[in-house]
Amino acid sequence: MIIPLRCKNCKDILTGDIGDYLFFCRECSISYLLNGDRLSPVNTFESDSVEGYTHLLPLYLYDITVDYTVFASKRQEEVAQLIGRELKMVVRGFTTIDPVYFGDLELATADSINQNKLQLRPYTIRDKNFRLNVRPDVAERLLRYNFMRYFDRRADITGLKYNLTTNAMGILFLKATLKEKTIYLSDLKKELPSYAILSI
Amino acid sequence: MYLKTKTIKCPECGSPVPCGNFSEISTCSHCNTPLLIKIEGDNPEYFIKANIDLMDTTAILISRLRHFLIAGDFIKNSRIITRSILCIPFYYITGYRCGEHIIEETDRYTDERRIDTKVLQSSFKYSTLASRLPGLNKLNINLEKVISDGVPLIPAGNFNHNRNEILIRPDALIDPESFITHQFNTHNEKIKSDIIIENCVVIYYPIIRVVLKYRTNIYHFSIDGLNGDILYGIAPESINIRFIPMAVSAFFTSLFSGGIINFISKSILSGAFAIWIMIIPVFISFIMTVFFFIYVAYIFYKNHGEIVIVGNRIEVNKLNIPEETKVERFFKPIFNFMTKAAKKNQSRFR
Repeated sequence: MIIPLRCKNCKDILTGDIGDYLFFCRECSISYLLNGDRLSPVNTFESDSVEGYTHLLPLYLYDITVDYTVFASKRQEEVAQLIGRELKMVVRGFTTIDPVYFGDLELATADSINQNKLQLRPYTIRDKNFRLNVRPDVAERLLRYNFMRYFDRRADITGLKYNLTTNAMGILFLKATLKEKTIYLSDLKKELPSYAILSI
Repeated sequence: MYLKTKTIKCPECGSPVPCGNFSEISTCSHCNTPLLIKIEGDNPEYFIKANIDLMDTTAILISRLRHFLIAGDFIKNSRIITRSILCIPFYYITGYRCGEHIIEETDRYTDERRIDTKVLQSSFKYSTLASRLPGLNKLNINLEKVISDGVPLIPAGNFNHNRNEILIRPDALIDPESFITHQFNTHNEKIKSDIIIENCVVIYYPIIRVVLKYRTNIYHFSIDGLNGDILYGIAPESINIRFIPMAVSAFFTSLFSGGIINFISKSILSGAFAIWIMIIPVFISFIMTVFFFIYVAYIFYKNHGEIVIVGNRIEVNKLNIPEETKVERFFKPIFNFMTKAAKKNQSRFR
């Protein structure tokens, strides 16, 4: 498989590394996601918080529609009404943090976005200070389980039947600051221990 | 650098672009287009650079083996035949095990059946050997720990092939996906799990293989290229020098134990006179046995040397004994007498 790394808009050279799935054009600020054997343009977002950061942690951001077909309990119906049919879900996009810490990170981010605690705005990539190394197809498979966990936190999912449709996909950059002993996630006001960082 | 053996066509201008066995970003020399070349079914490959130099292996072997043999004899009679760094491939696989676990419960009082579904999502990190070369399965390497320790991983494209460093390619028959599926096979119908492999990386781990000839035998050693631990190898043992004191001490031990049995049996069967007749040789044999045990320990102590490497030379220094203890001072004339007697009668033993 051979893919020319040139912007489809201005024909400038795309910036990216081997093992990465996100490439960007410095000239016209378009980002491209490598999905299978083709590069397709993708929207990138960041939170509108003004806090400083040193690292960007990329996450896949999905707009999903959930059609609930069978509810097994009253509680499930209530939760379905609470979270709505259309919501945003988040899936990890990088592997540099120990997966043990990811579960909460994803659900907390999705919660903050769906409850409008985290306002998003388009982000223009200027520097290569991130690494998106989770394959898009892996993220797509994890999305379903992330939704199940999201729902299961509020009500038992037994007997619930639903169809999940992805409307749009983008990349969300979480802001993080690396301190001596912790990773501070300013968007979520959370801290992770420094040993959560992995080299792969 | 590795050799670029294949050529592909640039999709922009059609001119040939050389490429090798690894995925890489290359540039077309004709139209300067950067090209992302992905080898089908190719996992990213990294290698770990050995911290141990090949020339250090002599020092490692001697320092580790000095407890197993008489140092001087080993240095005199051993010869390293070959030594090379083998980069052994491992699959380092990370991913997720997702699914549902259906738990059925029956209420004790109402007999009502309840079904609870737990959503599973756990991550895994596994490493497995990617080659079936004979002898490699005996190597016990904790790759997960090495990676979590932050050892730098260098892309395999930068590997410098030479006579002493050999990169062993992964075996095509070993499938990392089936290995992981096998690991999580629970045979439990109530657990529906989905294995998602996130990242499968080939990591080449440096193992220094030393082939050594000591006296008439050939020994193979595998040394960890990162920390110098001997991972596999059988230590040569020189028993020639130890044989005489061991045989003598064994003789007196048997004499002593035989004396005890004799003493007990006589004391039961006969009167007090017979006991006193027996007690003298038993006591003498006991004293001699104790002395011979101490003597054997002394010989081991004397022959145990510290090995010092000075430039290209290897020297054996006798252990620096700080001060003579009271016990040593007491036993020294007896040891000297025994050593002299042993030397005098050495020809007879031969």
